[in-house]
Amino acid sequence: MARRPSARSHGKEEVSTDINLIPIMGMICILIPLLIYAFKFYEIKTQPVTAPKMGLGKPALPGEEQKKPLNLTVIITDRGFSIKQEASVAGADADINIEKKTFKDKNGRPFVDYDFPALYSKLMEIKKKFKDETTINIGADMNIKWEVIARAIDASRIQLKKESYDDLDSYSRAEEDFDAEGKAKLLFPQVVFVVAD
Amino acid sequence: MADEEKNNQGGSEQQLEFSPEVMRSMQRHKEKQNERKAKRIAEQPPFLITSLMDAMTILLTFLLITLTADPLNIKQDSHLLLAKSTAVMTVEDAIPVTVRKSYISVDTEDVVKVECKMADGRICDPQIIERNTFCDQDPAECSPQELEILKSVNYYVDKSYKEEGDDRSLLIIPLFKKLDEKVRALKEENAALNREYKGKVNIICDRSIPYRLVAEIVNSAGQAELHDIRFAIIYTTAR
Repeated sequence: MARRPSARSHGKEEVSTDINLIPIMGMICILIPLLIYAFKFYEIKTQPVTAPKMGLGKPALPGEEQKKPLNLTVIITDRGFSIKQEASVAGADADINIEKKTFKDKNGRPFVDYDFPALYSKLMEIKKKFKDETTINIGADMNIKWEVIARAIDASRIQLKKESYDDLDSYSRAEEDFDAEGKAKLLFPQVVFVVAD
Repeated sequence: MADEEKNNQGGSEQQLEFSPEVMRSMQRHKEKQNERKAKRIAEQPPFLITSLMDAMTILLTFLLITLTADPLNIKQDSHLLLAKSTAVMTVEDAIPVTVRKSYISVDTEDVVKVECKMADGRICDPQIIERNTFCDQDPAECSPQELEILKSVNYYVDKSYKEEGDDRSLLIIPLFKKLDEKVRALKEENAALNREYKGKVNIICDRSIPYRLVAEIVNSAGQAELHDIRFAIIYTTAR
């Protein structure tokens, strides 16, 4: 028996060839929140420090002049910073004390903090006198927190646009200084931890 | 006048009246319209997930790459809060030493317990450690009295873990032994692969850890021939 053309065209059932994405979608929807939970929204970098070396240094070769080291040391105490240098090299400014200072926060409220701008300014002064010096010894009272030491290393690591800063706000926003080749100008990048008795 | 109005109304009613044939035709037309509408709706796919799938795949790839690219994979919590710095040195593959408020671990293995004591001799309970972290992050939310109490919190390693049980010693024996073991394995691996040994260590240190403990860890690492020490910090643009 002949069928109508319209009836003939609808005779076969169409089979879908598309992939069923719904299970994959479900899996992805579970994975994404898990990964977002494990994801961190901050950038981790590293601050290099050299472990103090034990024993005596290399003996001077015959005829080689033994240059006296500056032995620049910053000691962090509860009261502030104490900068020490080899008196025979640095002269009269061998010992400098930088007391804690009262700063004002964004709301104008006073707070006492370490005077990092003054520390940076003093270290810049020393760097201008001893351009080849790259090593700084950093020590602290035993109870000083690591975050204070990290900030002190930050102040001694690199040269900023200005040679000195008075307030914490301008210091904290200060940009690094670069040389002609576009490299950051270093201050005392080689940090050695010392323990003062 | 009133009759005229009535006639007009009657005339308009007559205009709306259709013959039964016209009414049937209109109904058929409406039915066909409804059928077509139903067919159109049925032909439309219920939900297009292909484009959503693309976006999800991109997001998934980005998250996977970001997570696997970080060699330290630090998860901050109340026991581990990193210090901030403007240092820009990227993280390199090295032996990781994590210094939390509770444990010192080398490569995810806990090596030494970190003790916590307050100025009055009380041992810190977990609540004090959590409160210390909270006040450290947001001092304005804590009272001056509480800040003063929390200031006295001290983290240290018991003298039994130190060289000859001497409290003044800067060498933490279990940490030194573990690092020494790692260094030996690394040296052997480098020798086999003809690579230079660089003696690098990444110290992931909580920002409240006192200098005494930091110095002990640095000294222990130095004794284990790890002289290139890098402290993990959170990068910030403000000093």
